[in-house]
Amino acid sequence: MSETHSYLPHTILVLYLFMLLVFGYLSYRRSNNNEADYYLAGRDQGWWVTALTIMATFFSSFALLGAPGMVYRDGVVFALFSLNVPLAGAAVYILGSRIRSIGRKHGYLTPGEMIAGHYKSPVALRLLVALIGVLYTLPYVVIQIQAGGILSQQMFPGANAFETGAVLLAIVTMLYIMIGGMRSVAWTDVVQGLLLVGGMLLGGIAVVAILGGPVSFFQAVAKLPPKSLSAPGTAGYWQPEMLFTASVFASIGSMIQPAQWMRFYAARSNQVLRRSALIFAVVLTTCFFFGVMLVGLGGQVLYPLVDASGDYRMTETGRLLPHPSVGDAPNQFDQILVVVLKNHLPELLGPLGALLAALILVAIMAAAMSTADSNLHALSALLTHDIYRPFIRPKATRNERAWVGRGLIAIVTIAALALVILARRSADNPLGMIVILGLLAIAFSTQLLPLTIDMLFVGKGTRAGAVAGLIVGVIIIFFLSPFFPMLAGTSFKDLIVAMKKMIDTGAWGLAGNTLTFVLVSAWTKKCAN
Amino acid sequence: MSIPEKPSGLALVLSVLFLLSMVMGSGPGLRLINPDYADPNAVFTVAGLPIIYLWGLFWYGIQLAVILTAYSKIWKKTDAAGAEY
Repeated sequence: MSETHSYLPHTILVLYLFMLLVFGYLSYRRSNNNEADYYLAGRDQGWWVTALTIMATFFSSFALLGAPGMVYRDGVVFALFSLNVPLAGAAVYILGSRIRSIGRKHGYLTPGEMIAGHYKSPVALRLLVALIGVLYTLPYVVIQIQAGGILSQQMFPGANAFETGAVLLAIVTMLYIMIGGMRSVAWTDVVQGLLLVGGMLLGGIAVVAILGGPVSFFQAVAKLPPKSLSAPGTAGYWQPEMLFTASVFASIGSMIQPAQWMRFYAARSNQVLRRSALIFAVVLTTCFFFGVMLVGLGGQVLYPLVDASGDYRMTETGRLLPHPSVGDAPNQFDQILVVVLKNHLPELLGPLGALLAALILVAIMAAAMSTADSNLHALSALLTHDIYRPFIRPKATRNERAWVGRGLIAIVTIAALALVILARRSADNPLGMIVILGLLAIAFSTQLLPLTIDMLFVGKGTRAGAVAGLIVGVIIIFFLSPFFPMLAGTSFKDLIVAMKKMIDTGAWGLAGNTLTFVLVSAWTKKCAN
Repeated sequence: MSIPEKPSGLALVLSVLFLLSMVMGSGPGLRLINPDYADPNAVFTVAGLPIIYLWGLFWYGIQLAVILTAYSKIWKKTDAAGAEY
């Protein structure tokens, strides 16, 4: 960005962050400081706030940094991941409307309450569902804070730029949730959702324009290496079975995670969810296919992965590397959108380009913040409502629980921030690429699927089946996660590698979970009879 | 907790069509059109667009048609108790 326009990103970013804090304050003034209001905005959200908050929670830095980063690494095959979005849209109505109706009838606030209530398991299932919520939300918050750091590093290069961006994102997000609760999260999500949708589309349009328009763009794309134009992609990761399971479970897992579940409770009516589902499926898939996915492909044209002799850049351990102008580590493919915008848009459009680039960069920040806020807010609800109230202080007042929730938001934010900064400073950053860490988090929340389907549509499962299924699912995911080798070394290495190559981790967990749930439910029913 | 009524014929057809779009679009069905990157004669583009991208757009069209039909014909405006808020 030229010197003349270098102030633009700073100005827009400061205005945006200030606006979020104002929203937090206004929401606080409208609230009545009780738990249902703090966590569910009085269960009275209309369709456009609901649609945008569901979209903003669903799409995070995964959409604006992770997805173009993955297309930049693996090529056009990852564009097909967009087909998970209409499925998620359908889930908003099919699952959401029943969750909302039952939640409203019984006054539920968290997923654990409904599941524990249905299976009559006030301790084991409630704790297990809360644990799964924590296992989902924590990595997702970590990813968003990490995205704030990546963005800052690219926007404002200099010493400690990563740390400054990560701290800024974490602290501002923490403050407006603590001040305004769900109302504040939802209203900031409206602005962030609009920025996100605009940013995704503008990103795609910008890259096509940089390459000379649609015809020149696709002519250049057609000349990419064959691996970039076919499955399983450059790194060989996206076999159709892997893509299918990741798409299906990413969409459903993301829709039954605690923050979305609470948005269903907060919707004013089923009509609100019906409209939200349609908007979600149409608008977001369009943004994916015609927006960010084109950024990754254009990125491969502008910053090729192969050198003049057609060889890929690799690390010593054989991992693919991005173009040197994009990054020098295997987890830096995620920076492609920021690099393209920063280096090419102001050059192409002058002051207007600088303004657009700044807006899209703020949209990335918005994407990260909108997911971090929803997850932090949901995590606070899980810990106060499913653990603090039933097991630690049953006599706590609603007001006290709301304040404990605020304290927990501060603790979790600071812990996640510390993790991001420590991981960043370690020699081999264990947090890796956004998409990979995001899919691991989703794998945990997907484990709620068998119980949810049974509870809403089938009604044949038992408490023992539900508990056993969840335990098996979580153990399988832990076995396939990067954490198991840290504890167990190279034991089962071959088995883990073979399993991970076949289908997505969440699908393995779900298979074990469902089988156990069905078998144990059938067995316990038989014993009871 | 009450279990919802049996799905209608249209709901079943739309469900099958949607599942098919997932299996074909981003699943094993992709093998039908996926060009082999090692084959020098493989065709990677159609009408100037990557064939995989076009494949995805086609199945997105099917998904969109299914969702629009469900929205207008199946998804109810009222909640389970029949009250419209």
